[in-house]
Amino acid sequence: MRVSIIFLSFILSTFSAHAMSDQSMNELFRKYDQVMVQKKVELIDQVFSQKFLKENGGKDSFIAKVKELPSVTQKSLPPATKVSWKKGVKKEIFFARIQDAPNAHKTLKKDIHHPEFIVVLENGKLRVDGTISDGE
Amino acid sequence: MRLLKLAILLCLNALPLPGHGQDCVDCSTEKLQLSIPRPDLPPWPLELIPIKNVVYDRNLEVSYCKRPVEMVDSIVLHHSASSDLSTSEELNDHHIEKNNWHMLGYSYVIHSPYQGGPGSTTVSAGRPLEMVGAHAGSTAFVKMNPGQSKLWESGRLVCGIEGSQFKVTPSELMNNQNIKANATTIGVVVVGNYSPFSRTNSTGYSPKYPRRPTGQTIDAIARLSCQLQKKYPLIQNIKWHNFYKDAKNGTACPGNIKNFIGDIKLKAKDFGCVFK
Repeated sequence: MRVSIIFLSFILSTFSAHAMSDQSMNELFRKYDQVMVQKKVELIDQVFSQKFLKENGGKDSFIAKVKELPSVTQKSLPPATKVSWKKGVKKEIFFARIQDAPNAHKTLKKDIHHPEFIVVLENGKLRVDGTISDGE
Repeated sequence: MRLLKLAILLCLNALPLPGHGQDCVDCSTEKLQLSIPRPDLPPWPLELIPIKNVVYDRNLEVSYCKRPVEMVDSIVLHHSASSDLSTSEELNDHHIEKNNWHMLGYSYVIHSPYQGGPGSTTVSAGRPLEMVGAHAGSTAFVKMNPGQSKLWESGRLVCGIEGSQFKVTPSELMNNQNIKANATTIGVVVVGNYSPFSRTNSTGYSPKYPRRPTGQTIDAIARLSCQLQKKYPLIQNIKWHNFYKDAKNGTACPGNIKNFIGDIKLKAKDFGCVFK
């Protein structure tokens, strides 16, 4: 009986930890879209790691690139972005892929590039740390 | 004067040159060409580009396949789709963590700063050439030429886990008599992102300032390719990642680098190599 309770609590804790991470990952990419699609550049520090910004020409250069992206009107914004992700085999590192929802705005659907996102924990918060070609 | 010139030429012909002694039956033209300095060509170095050896972490629980290097006929170019500052060790780490691979999928890593960036161009060794790569795509298969078929039939392409007995495993490498492109190619990655910035490519370049491989990058790819061809003369093609992908599984890799394959081949000619 005691073994069953321990096993059950282990399963529940694993499930809730995963569910929480799933939620955190969706939240990260919701903010990511706010930056990249809605151009709310004030959220950049909540989305990208310091290393990412440093390695990609600095914050100002990154903001300039975001502002150059084609505008999407509020009305035609895509519904929630679908995020699929997985944890690294051994380390606390995550790899995420975003897919446009079927009724996403055509400007977004044209996008064919799909490198994966490298997501890390920075001060306990999920941050996009880079991108990587999938090699597949 | 004309007679003097003729006498000098005859003397030059009579002089034995290193490596062109007894076996040379009618090689006067070759001797003369070799004895004339060619400022338009670089000296003929044995090593065209230094390759840094890197000690990588490996995922010993995961299997990999071994091949005779003579199986290889093509080089496949990639970009890492990361920042140009990513290290070979980081790429290795990401391939293990993300894909659960034995180690980095590419055999060579070219670190070359973007235009105007700090640092110089260097090449690091990646996955050993004797190990089948992981870069062209697990669904990419190619038709074998007669030489490759012979090598396959010889049973020298084997798969297994480090420390165990490696075995011929057709299911790992073959599909309807076609072989995985990874088995007949060498993966070379240029560190950086050569595709335009977009919602799903946040390390790409601003469309206002397209990022192109620099002269040093092209030179490094050409030198490395030529060096490989000199060691393994059957390597005669330079392809790119997207060449092996169908429309459904398309990839932007290697971005703009694909547009410079012609320049790379031309540059390789300077070092005495010809690619199809």
